[in-house]
Amino acid sequence: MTEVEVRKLLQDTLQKEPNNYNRILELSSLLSSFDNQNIRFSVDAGVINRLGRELVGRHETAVAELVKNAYDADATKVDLYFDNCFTPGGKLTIEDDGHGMTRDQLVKGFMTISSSDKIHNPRSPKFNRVRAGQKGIGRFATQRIGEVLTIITQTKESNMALKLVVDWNQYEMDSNLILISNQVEEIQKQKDTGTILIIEKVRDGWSDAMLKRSFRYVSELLQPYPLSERLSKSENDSGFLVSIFRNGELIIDDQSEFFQHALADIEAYVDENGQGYYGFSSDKLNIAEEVYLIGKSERETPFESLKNIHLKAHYFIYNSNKSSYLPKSVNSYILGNARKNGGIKLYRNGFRVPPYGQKDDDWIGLDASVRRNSLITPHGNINFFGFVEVVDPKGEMFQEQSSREGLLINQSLRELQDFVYKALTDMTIKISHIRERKGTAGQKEWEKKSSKELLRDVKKDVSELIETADSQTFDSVSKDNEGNISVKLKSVDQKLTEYQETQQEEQLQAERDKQELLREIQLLRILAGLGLTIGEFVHEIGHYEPAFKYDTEFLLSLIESEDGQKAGQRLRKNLESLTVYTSYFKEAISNNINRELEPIEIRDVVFDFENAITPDLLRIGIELKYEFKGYNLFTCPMHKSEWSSILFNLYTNSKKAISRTGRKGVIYIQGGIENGKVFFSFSDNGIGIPEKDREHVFEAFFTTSPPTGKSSNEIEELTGTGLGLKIIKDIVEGYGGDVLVDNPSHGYNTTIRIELPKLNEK
Amino acid sequence: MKKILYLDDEKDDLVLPIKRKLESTGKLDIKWNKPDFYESEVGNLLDSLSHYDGLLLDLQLNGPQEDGKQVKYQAPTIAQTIRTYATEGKIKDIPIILCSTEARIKETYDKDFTSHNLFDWTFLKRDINEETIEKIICMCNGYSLIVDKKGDLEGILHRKISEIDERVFSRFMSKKSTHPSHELARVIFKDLVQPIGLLVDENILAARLGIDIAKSSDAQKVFETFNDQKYKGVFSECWPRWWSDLIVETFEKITGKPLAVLNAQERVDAIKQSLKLNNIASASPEELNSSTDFWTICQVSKRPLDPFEGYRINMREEPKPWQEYSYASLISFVGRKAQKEGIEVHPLDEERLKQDSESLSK
Repeated sequence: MTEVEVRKLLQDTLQKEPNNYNRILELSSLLSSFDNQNIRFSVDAGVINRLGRELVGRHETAVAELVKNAYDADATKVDLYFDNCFTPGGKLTIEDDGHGMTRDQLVKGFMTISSSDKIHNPRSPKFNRVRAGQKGIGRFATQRIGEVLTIITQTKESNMALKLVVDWNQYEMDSNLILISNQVEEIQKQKDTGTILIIEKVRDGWSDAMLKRSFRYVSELLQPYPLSERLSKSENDSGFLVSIFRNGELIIDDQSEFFQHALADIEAYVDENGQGYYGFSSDKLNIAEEVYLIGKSERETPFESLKNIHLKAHYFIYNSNKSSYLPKSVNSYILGNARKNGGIKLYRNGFRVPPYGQKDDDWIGLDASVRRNSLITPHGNINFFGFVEVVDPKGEMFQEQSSREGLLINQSLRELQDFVYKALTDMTIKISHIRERKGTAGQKEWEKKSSKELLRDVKKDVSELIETADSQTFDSVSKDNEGNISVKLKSVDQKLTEYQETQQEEQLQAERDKQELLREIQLLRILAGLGLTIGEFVHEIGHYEPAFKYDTEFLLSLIESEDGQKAGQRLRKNLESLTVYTSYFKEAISNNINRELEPIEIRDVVFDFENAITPDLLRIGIELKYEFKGYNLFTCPMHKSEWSSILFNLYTNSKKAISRTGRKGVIYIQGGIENGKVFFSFSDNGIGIPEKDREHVFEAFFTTSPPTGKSSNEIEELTGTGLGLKIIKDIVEGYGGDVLVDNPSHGYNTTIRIELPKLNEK
Repeated sequence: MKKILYLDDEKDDLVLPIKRKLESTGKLDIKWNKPDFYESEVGNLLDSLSHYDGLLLDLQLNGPQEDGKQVKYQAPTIAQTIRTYATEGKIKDIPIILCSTEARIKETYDKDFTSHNLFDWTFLKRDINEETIEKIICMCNGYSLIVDKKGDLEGILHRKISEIDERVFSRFMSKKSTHPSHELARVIFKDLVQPIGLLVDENILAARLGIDIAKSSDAQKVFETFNDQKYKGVFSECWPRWWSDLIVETFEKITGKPLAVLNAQERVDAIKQSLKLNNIASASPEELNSSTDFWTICQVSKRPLDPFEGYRINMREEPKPWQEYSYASLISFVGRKAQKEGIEVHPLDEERLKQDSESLSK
């Protein structure tokens, strides 16, 4: 078409089909191409797909990103419905109760690529949350997850909802981005406020483990203190809860991911007469609920200015070297959350009262008590997630300070603090007793006295007796004292018996401990001997190295026959490989001498590994590639030799998987920081792991290798046993990390991904 | 043909290949002995050393020998004795070169600095190549020249002594006493030729001229125009160096522009114009850097670096006043290549490196 024709056509369209915006845009765009004075950038629609792939690498991260967007929109609740998603093609619905979007916000925000709302408004409007989502990632996340996106969004103020449908398949290469239109219409409101994202033709299969991981990626946003229905009126941030459903069935929520791990749940009341009581139960310790009284001075004394109080809390004890009540994989993230959201919040007539129970607020005095060390049971704010509810509509007990910074300090408040403190600590003490009785893992004995303490008690009793006896002549012993003395003697007798028993027990325990230690020392001695032998060997080889090298060179210079030259070159290369292998041993041994844990930069271990396996790679024709994103990829302190173990196990597996394809092998390592964790992934183009096996490969003795032959030697047997990934899992989880079979990186068939806590820079 | 006496306690099977390798170019004649007990060994050396051009010592001499003999001294003991006799004029001054395995060097030599002045040069037994052999020869030639010139510094260095920083050779200007040749040899080699300072090597020359060697086919032609500024004194055959003050002077003479205030592109433009050369590319900064006011190189990547963007490296010794620090770039540290090569940041720059690398994570 000529310029004139285009102008004509555009005029016609404007007159005859004024609503055919697509045509008008297309023609005006075409017309602008005749502009000889100016030229403009145009954007290929394929950029959408490319950006999506590059900005949002993994579908689990994509889902986490969308949940973060809901958080940023001041939602208190997000529900994710995965329907028929075990295999690709299913549907994901994400529904939140956030502020929703107006038409303007939809156009200028969601539909404008690289929009900067999050830069201009780093905090959310209603709850003043620090925005969690990365800028401009949301739309690409939906594109990463599935092929068709439907957005239904409504604000509180509007009467209608907006519905937008985006078919990402339209965004193909070689079409102009501005010419692709997406249908938008007004429909009846589906809910009061909030956004619903419906993503159809989901691109990946979603296993339960993947859902859990997505959940964990957003776990830092969760504010999982329990909210009763009556407490929903708060103007303050009233929490953020995420639930994940599969085919209509709830499979993950804060309850299942969080509170199922609680050691105990406590509920306490003060009735209208001021009498307090509480009950607690624990599935883990197998304790059924029982009710105990709490009072002002004695257990039965009612509080004077306190009534109609309700307390509910979940109690957590975190893993230490003495006890472990939490799975390793969740311990660190619950603990991390507790540092932010732990403690007891206060609600008055349905409204949250700040600052009680916020981070760093210790209104009940729990942390102070922990510092005083008066109770040795774990009872700091981080050990509880809970709330106290006060029903006081007329303000008889509590008055808010005019500055709105909490309640006036009066007797009621003091009694409330007293009640909550007593109920919680009383429970922790009772739980400690029960833990002790059950003889949990080497717990310090705080109920039972040691033989030393018993002896001290007896000595004290006896001295008292002697004093009593000294102070009066024998026949003037009063009836009272007589009774006293016999009680004391009985007590002494009892304590002595107890002393005997305890001492015997202690002896037995000491004997057992000693045996255990001896066994351990023996094992260590054997290993140390082995280590020394290897060290000696490596050292000796070092002396032979130059001789090998120069003799081979010399021989090569003498050989004239072609075959001889070949053999000589081969000998030279093989000897070089030997040198590289031994130098890796040298390195490993010197690393082992240094037994301290240190933060590990992923690059360091990959470089060492590359150095060690290069001759092997050359020999079997595998290519090793790696790529690191960002710098300072330091993991939490680990042992360097653990990384040798991880890398060699992965390498052995990859070699086997590659050899079974007969292809030229490629191994691809990636490292970086994502979701606040250091990640490391190891991919190969081997035979891959069938979907059904993915969740099992980390189990001991699970192997996809064919059984080793009868004639195979020990080493072949060892490498085929399927312990490799189990070892990796044990190492990684020991540090609170995660290892998984990821969806393979592009062009590869297997990707093992490791996530580890990153170095805490504080 | 240089004659070298070589002392090593290792067994024949392990030493003979090394001996033959050193002799492989036909330029060295190696006489290998196993160390004898101290008194006899010193006696042997006093008798025979005048027939040799150099002495090669294995660092550790106290291993059990095949005939059951085991001496109780190490290379530094012997080296010190020889230096003393040479100072007294009882024997000829010849270079003492140390060789060992990497592990041994790390275990003792790198930890104890007291003996470093005794040895002229060190190499690893497994890294012997033609360059190693040439360097040994160069050492021997250097010594004989220094001995011949009897303290004539200008004859030894091929530069007017008044043009050299007075502090370098201040000791040797003293009229009160004479100095043994090995002392002069050591100062020339270890304080002048090896460190960056008055003399610079080809990589630093390229950095100062702003040239990317790999991308410039005319680079050698440029270097040739600086031939007159090359160091032509003792040891220069194997350690090619340029006088850094003369580079600056000559650059200005050729181009009419002061070198130090120009960036790489400006330096290269000036050279191209003045020398009528086309195939010279200016060097670009390394990843994470932006300045092209190059003056040194990153010791890890060997690429040009503006010292203001680099971090000083913890060297064996602090540089002397006329010497410069060695540097490494940010990418070498955060990309972990520096650590891989065992290069550490100098304590003075540690905090700055920490801050700069942390700011990358934000």
